[in-house]
Amino acid sequence: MFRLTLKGLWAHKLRFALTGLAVVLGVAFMAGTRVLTDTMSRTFDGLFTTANDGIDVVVQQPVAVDGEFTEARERVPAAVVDDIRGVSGVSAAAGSVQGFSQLVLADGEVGAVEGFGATIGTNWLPEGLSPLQLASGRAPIGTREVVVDAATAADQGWVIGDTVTVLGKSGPRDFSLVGTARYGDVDGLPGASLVAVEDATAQEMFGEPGAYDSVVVTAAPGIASDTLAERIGTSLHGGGYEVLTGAQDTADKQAQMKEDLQFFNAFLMTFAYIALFVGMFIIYNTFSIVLAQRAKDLAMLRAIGASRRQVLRSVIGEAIGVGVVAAAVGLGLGVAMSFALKALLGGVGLDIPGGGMVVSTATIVTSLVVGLAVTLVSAIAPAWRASRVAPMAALRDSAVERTTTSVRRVLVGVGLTAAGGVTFAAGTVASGTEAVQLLGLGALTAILGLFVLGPVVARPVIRILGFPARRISGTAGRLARENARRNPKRTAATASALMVGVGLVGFITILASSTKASIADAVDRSFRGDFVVDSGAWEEGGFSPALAEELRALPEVASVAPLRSTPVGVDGGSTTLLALDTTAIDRHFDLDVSSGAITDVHDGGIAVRRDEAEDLGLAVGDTVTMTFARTGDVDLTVDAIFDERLVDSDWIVDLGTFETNVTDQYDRWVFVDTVDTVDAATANAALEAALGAWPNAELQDQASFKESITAEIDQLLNLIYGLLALAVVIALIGIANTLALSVHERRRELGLLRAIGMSRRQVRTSVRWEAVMISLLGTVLGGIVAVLGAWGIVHALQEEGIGTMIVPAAPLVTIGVLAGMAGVVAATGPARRAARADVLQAIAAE
Amino acid sequence: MLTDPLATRLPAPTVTAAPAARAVDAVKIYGRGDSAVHALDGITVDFGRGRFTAIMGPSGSGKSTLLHAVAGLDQLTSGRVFVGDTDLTTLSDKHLTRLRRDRIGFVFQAFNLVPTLTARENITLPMALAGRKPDKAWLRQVIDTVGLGTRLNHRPSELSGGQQQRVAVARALAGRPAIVFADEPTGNLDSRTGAEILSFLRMAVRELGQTVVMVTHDPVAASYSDRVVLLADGRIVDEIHAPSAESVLDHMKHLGR
Repeated sequence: MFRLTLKGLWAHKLRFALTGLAVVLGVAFMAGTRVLTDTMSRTFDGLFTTANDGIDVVVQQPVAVDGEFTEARERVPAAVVDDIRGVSGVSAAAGSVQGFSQLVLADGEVGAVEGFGATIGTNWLPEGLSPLQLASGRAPIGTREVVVDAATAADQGWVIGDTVTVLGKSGPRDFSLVGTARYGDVDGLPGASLVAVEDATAQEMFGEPGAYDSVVVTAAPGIASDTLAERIGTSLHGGGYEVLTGAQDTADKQAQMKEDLQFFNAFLMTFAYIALFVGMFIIYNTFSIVLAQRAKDLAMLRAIGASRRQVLRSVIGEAIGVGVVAAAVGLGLGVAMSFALKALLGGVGLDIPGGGMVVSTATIVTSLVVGLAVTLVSAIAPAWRASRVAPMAALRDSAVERTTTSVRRVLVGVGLTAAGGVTFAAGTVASGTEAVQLLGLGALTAILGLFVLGPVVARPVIRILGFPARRISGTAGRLARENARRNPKRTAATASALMVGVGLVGFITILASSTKASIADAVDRSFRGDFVVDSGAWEEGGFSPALAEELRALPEVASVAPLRSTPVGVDGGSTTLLALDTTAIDRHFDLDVSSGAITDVHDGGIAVRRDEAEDLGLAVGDTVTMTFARTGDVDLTVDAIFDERLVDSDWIVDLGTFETNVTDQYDRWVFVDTVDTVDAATANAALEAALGAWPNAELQDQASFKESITAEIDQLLNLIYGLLALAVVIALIGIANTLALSVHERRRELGLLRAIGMSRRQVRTSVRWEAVMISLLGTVLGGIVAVLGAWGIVHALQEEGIGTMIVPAAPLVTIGVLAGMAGVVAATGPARRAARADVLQAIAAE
Repeated sequence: MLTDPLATRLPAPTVTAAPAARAVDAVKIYGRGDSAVHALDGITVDFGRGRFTAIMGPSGSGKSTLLHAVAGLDQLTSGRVFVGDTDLTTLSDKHLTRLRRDRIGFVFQAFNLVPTLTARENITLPMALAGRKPDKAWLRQVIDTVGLGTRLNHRPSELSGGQQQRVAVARALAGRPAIVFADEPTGNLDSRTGAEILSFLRMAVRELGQTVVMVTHDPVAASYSDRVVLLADGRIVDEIHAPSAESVLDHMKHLGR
């Protein structure tokens, strides 16, 4: 029987190749993602090792607030560095500054605030205590000299002697470039720039005068790192410092980065799994069709004495063959793709330095196992069905599929869909991980339910979808419609694959539109002032408070209200605390205060959003404890309860409280209201002029403020579209596959049609229409999934401020039209083959 | 032996001078060199208008090849074929398709019908493909002749083999083609059903003035025709006018000598 399996594979190699393609693409995506993240992980591991190269001990303050995105630590006073120098066994010690900075790039644009393309501001450390080594020039001295990493300098075309503008705590400052530096053995950090200035300047610009972010120490010869760490810990007794060996610190940072990369990896993997899930439909369908077409051969085997088991084993063997080959090819393609991705990332400035790609054993094993498993699971049902073929079938003519609407199918389909719906609904009211699991499980079950129901709805829906075909292409369209309806199972399974892709695209589209609409509503509702100056920063960095003062001094300006934020601890967790000028904010921004008054919030007071107040059982007059990195636990009195969700925070204090408890004062936004007697254009010009000196300031009126928020959503939307594209492409391969098999199956009929006068063109038209109908069926089903899913999520997110669901007509119609066009493209090959059908061969008697 | 259902034969309609279709020096060679097979080895034949012609011959005699060539389904190696005045050998695939659709009717041995369409839709399919409306009166006459009245809205899978062939005959006649080609139209049917189909074809010639060319290997089937053309090894070796099953059998026996 094994030889039979091999022969079976060989005889249908093209079909199996097409089937395998669905697995290949999914596995490639998965393998590529893993290789890329493994490579990035190794790269960062290397960078953190470099960062502490030669460092024996690191001293810093412990994490005071472990925020959602950042950790807040206080700084180490400069005096501690001297204390450490006095500990016996210390060879050298130096304070290190690492803080927020932004570079004004060669094109006049300002570099990113955080994340990709951000700049790290640091102090120039003595040799042996820093990973930075001069590549050219000399170390910076005084308040006006800077060293930039060699990669950034080369990228921006900066040479020694050039003036470089660096943004820090106090605003922009011009520096003279006196040197470039390498970071260990690379020219720069991937996706980030480094600027280094002299100690005091660094403290002033990136940190805090008289303090360092950490102290790095090297041991005298013969002293072990951990011994020294212990000695330093003892001598600093009572200071509450975190004393780590260099190795420990490196390991901590590496672990932190791994966690971050894990998130990135999980995000990409989601799309790989979606692609594989869609691939399963294709494999299931292709195996079903191919085995149905071979039913006669299999029955013949049964008739001459093969057992059911042997037939099953032979067919399963074919699935294993396809799975193994496809998974292996996918793995290879994935590795190749990761090289391409690396090059691509390098092209946009995220160079991944050092060495080749990391293809771990885990990646190889996972790819092969998942590829094989996906194929096997999808092929089991068709294989089982094939093994049930009666030996007598060998003697009968191959029958056309006759699906009557089976009651069982309807019951199972409706049951699954309903169960999925209920689970999904439960997910929308649950929270956290549980919510995600319920939503995922619910969506999956509902999709399976629709998959089961597919053949039932396919006939009537195609009947309706077929009207345009009939009208436009007459008989060719009519034949297409009947062909799409003749094997409802096949049509439905093919369409289901597209349903998943289109459903997700539609879902994301609706969700994005609803979110944008809600934000626009919120802006319209609450934005009362004329302008806001946006720094682009949220967690770190922003403007010096000097900017707000400069604006306040303008005669055109009536009121200025800056907004600051910091991570704080509350109720055992962490959150973001906002600070506002509570006396002025009402003029700029309507917080929709329902209890108390925002102007009542001053020293020792706090405002809380209603949902949070209800969750914590807080009312005006109650006390709440906030944990600040600098001052620890502070009791604040609730003075107001507000409802507006636009500012993404539940807690607001006034600037005084903020200044008392937080070290770094950065304005993230500055609201500006102009004098009523000044017209908008004049005010705008005056503000623009004043902001000319602040390269990171972006002046926005209500409209552009709205736009800047929605633009971010669009960016994310496009990224997700790109990642979902693979799932859609796999579904289209499925359509091409099904049509190719159908055309092959109908070659006799096509020959007849050609004989009695159907032109090649009409044959092609007919096949194309069939593809369009399958595509549209998938799109319609996907649309339903999208609308229902989005409705559930939007409902669930009502607390997060997404009020109304917007079903955007234009994008959804575009998706439909594109799906139809994609169907035409998918049909190209099968249509051509159908039109070429050999009339004589087709009509020749058996 | 079958009894002839139309025992009293009607006189054949007058045959006009120009034939409905003809082949001139038709040569069809498959393969090359030593393995070349001359399926048609220089055949010249006319198919008279308003006549029922049967082409007979043993397997491999070239009878189907001749039919396919004259019907515009296959290309000749050399020579020419005409349907009316149209030289098929000069036509492109597009024009050949149009010719088959508009001027030729087909009845094949099996797989005659499109399974997704009803009997009625199958009958009018060539016209529908051309975007033409059928001639209602003529269509009714054809349908009545083959006796399908009640089963018109059934799909092929719901029809018996004989009924399917009747639908095929009706389709072949529905467009009033210049010529109907039938390729072993009774090959898959029992003798009684086969006789019915043959009667319809003969009726179409006698009463409706159609031209029919049929390939068969069955002398009884051939006996329904006006004229039998006998082929062997790609050549015409004999002709029988007003054949009976016995005379055809007799002529065929002599073929081997």
